[in-house]
Amino acid sequence: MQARAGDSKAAVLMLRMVLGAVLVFMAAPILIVVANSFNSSQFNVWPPAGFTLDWYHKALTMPQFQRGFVNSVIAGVLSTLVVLAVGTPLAYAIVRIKFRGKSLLQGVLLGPLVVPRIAMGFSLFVLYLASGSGLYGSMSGIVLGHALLMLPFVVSVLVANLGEVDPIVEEAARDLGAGAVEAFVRVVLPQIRPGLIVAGLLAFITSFDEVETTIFLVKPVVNTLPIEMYLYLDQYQDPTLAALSTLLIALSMLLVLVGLMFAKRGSLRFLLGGRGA
Amino acid sequence: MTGGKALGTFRSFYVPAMLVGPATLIVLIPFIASLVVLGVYSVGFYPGGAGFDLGVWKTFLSDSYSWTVIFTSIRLAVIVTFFCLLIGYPVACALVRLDSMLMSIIAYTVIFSPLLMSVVVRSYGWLLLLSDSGFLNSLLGAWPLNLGPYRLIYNEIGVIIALVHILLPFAVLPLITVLLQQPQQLREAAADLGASPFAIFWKVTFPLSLPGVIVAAEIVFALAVSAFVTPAVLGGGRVLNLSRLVYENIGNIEWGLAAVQALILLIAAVGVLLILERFNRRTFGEKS
Repeated sequence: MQARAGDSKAAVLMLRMVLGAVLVFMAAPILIVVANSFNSSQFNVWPPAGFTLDWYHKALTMPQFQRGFVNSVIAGVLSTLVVLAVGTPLAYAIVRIKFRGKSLLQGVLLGPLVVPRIAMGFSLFVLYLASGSGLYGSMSGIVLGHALLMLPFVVSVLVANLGEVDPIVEEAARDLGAGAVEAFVRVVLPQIRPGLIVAGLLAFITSFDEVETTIFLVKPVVNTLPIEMYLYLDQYQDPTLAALSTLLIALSMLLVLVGLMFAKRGSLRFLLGGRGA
Repeated sequence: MTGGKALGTFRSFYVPAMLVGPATLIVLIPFIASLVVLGVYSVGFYPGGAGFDLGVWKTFLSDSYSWTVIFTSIRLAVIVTFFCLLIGYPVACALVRLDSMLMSIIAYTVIFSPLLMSVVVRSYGWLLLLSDSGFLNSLLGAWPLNLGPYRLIYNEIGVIIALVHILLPFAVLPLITVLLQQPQQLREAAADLGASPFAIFWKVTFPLSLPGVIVAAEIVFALAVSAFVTPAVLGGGRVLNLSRLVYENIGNIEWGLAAVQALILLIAAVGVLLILERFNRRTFGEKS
């Protein structure tokens, strides 16, 4: 521990103990899920009755989980692409351009953050039905809903990133004859790559895990994986879910590692709260 | 001349419109429209509804059961917010004092990586830990303690424990940010002037970190008051909050009632946010 000015030894020791206890608290439910995925007891009895891989077999072969996984990947990829496609120009406009209604726009943009997910889900469900658009129970409906939930996060990450990019480079490109679009694509986009990766990962993970809004927008054919898991948990509590969860935990860890490798140190610093440790 | 004017209009209207338009069209307009439709439904305009009618509002608000549910939602959110701040504050203090890169990576990963996992997975983990024959009860029931088993699920205790776990990262993040922004020199100056570590904390560190505490409280409260999956899984249908009620009434095709409840949930979340934000501005507005 790095002592800061005005730290007492006893206080630092206590902070260390609290941090240790909280790390155990944060890791415990994840570790128990992994451990229980090998538990041969059907009723989550602890200590485990024996070792088995049967739950993995069951988790991987149940049709609703297979379909749910495919749906979740499709929804995650499409909503990430949509939200980045509409969010990047929006963030650019907020940082670089003065226009009327900007503060109103920024206020509305906070909306999806503030509105409870359940209320969002129900009101979108009602809108989909009332508009007669056929969005209810369709993949497009899920993608739209997820893009809506993610837009504030994506825009705030990109606004922060764009704020660090010096406009002079883009102006230089324009002076050298690049068109506005060309300058944006060839000069601005490469510079905000860490932001795009972090925002994209954030969007994909949120979409992949979303339950509370999604549950109102789906019909069984387009059920996403977390919805299927929630519905399964409502009925059964055998370790099938533990096996499936363990696979998902491994997958999300992998995804983050890949993301970090692509973003290099840029997003590692982002993760560590901007400290150049 | 006219060419210049056209270019001016182009710059001031069409360029922003092209940049902002797509997001507005496919995200922000549906967002606003959905809230409008929710309001319209709550006053009786829905398929099969009788037209303008405040009856659902009146019935819901005059029913003592509704108020029990509203208070359950708010009580749970207040308790969870309290514990998240109580635990999150020392954790943030400890995190900003970590000096080894390895320890930082481990601590940040353990605290923030649960955000990557589905709420269903994390709630399920707590179900395994807290159930009657689960890990915690078998630990407490073993020699030498021989305690329990305690009923920790299907009641508010389990819901609170799991929600604190799920929302703690959201409390820690703004607290770290505000602690890192504090100039080190302030505490050094206080120490040089002879302040005790205790005095430095209560007179310098803590008051300066209050804006972060308020942001943390806002985020945690807003998420806790509207939590759905965790109360459903850990509460086993026995912990009823507004989210649960909305979900059940949609299942029962009670559109009007569900709309009223969703709006009350929205008002509770936004209301507390506005109160905290006003407090924040009044206390710290001139400084920040």
